Amino acid sequence: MELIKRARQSQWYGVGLLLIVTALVWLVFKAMCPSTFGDPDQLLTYLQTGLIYAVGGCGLYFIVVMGLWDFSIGSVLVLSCLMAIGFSQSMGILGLIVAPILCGALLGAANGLAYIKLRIPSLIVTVGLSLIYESLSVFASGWSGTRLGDAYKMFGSYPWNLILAVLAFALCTFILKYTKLGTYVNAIGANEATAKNMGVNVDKYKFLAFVLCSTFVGIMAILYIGYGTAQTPMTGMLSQSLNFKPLMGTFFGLAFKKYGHPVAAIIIGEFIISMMFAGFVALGMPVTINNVVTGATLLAIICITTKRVKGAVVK
Amino acid sequence: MEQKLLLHAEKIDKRFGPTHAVNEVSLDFLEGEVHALIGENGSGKSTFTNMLTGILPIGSGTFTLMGHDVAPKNQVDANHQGIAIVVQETGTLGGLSVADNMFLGDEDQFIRRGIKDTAAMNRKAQELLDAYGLGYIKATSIIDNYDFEDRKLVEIVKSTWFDPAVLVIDETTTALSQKGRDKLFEVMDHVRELGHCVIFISHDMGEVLKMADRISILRDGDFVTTVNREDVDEDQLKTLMVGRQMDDHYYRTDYPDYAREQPGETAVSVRGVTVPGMIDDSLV
Repeated sequence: MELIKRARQSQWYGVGLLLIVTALVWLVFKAMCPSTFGDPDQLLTYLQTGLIYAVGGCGLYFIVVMGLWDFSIGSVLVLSCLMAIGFSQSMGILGLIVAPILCGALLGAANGLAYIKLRIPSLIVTVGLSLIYESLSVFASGWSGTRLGDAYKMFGSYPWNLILAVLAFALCTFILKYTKLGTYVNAIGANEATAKNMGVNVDKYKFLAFVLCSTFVGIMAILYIGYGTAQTPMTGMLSQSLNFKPLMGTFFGLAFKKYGHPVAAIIIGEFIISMMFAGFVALGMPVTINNVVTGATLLAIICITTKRVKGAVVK
Repeated sequence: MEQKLLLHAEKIDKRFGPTHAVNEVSLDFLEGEVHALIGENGSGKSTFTNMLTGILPIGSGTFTLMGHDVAPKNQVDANHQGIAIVVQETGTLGGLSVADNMFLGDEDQFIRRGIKDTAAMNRKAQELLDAYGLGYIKATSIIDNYDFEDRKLVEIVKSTWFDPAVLVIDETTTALSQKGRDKLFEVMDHVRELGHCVIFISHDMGEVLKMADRISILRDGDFVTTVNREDVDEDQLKTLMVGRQMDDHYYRTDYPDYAREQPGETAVSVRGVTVPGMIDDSLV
């Protein structure tokens, strides 16, 4: 018992637990479809997909850990992809990298300002703004086109996608562990009033979290457009469907943050989800099963990560 | 030896809408004393000390600490001015490490070129925990790994390691077991020995009479009086608190007759009630 107690207090307990879950998921699908699932090459492909969403999940973590929501990340992603396409044509590789990151940061600043100044729930603010960003994406696609030039697809495959993703994860870990912002987003999420009492400038750090969130979505856009090579504008809230995969990784991070390694949990979580999608496809289920898996996994993760008090009022 | 004035509160006043929570209270706190602040719920004790420690803005009036007016903007600002508080409810934040909690809002001492020297912060936190005899609490661990009492002990270290001139203990003992209380009393004695002042809020009259040198009573936001511990007993304190003569029954005298007539019968039975991290079922 003492050994288990000590293991649970270890910082690596959560990561170990997730790796066990990863192995179990792999084993289950491998047993059911041994020839079409889970070979080393395929695992690398699952990882490649998972990395893209994990970068977005890292950004979203700064928001969700504070108890806020950002439902604009899908539209930020679309617009950032279009910026990457457009600016890569005029500025080359520099445009491909800088434009989406800058676009994300600016849209994040707009989200943060709107949330702080309007004093209405973050979910409503970001859904409202995402409609505007979606409209902007229509104009942007008219200017930039929707296909990434062949010369700029390097971030869609190894090793560049891995390098960029690792840099993003390192940046996220660094911010969470070695900056005041990392400490304060957790503090605000745990108890905003107490954090304020301790002198934390809550509005400032909420604003910065929104900027960071969309900046990471900008980085995700570089990987996303490199992998997909084309991006059409989305309107009528269609971009909302892009929110959920990064969000699931974020919830893994939240669930395992008490063990001290949320970024690792986000990465492994996205890998597990990516593997599950591939597993269902390998089983011969239609691609739309992905939506079922996304929805069910999202609900399951929320149930696990949220402290649900019996008898409490849930709105 | 005559004790010097450390902190003076001059006509401290606070209203919450129509409620006059603290009504122009003036009080002196001396060097090297444990000064208990007692009163019924709603008497204004916590509101008074919350204004002193920056948790609430001061309505009107002035706190003067060692000759300087103080009006902290928040708890960390209060700490920088030599005032600290250990609150009744949980004051640590989940998801952060023990060290992060201990230096929350005061990390600048570990910041070099914008980067937090987490290793140095962890080191210092562990040194402090060790010095308080709490070495079993690991500075690098996430605070969620510890129970309510250990988290409270971390708060005590957080609030006292820098030897504040004034330490407010706001009904903290309610949440502690005997082990935690002993540790808290040890810390209070240490603060007194340093020539500083402890403002001790408690509903436990036995505890107040054991620890306090002087006792001030508040009632419905008004200051009633300050007495020396040697001059009063528990009943006199209760009388001062409620404003009328008390018999043996402080809390309720209106129990149904059958409850008084049949002593020994179970009135309320509790079995296996647990609150994770707070109440262990083995204690019930």
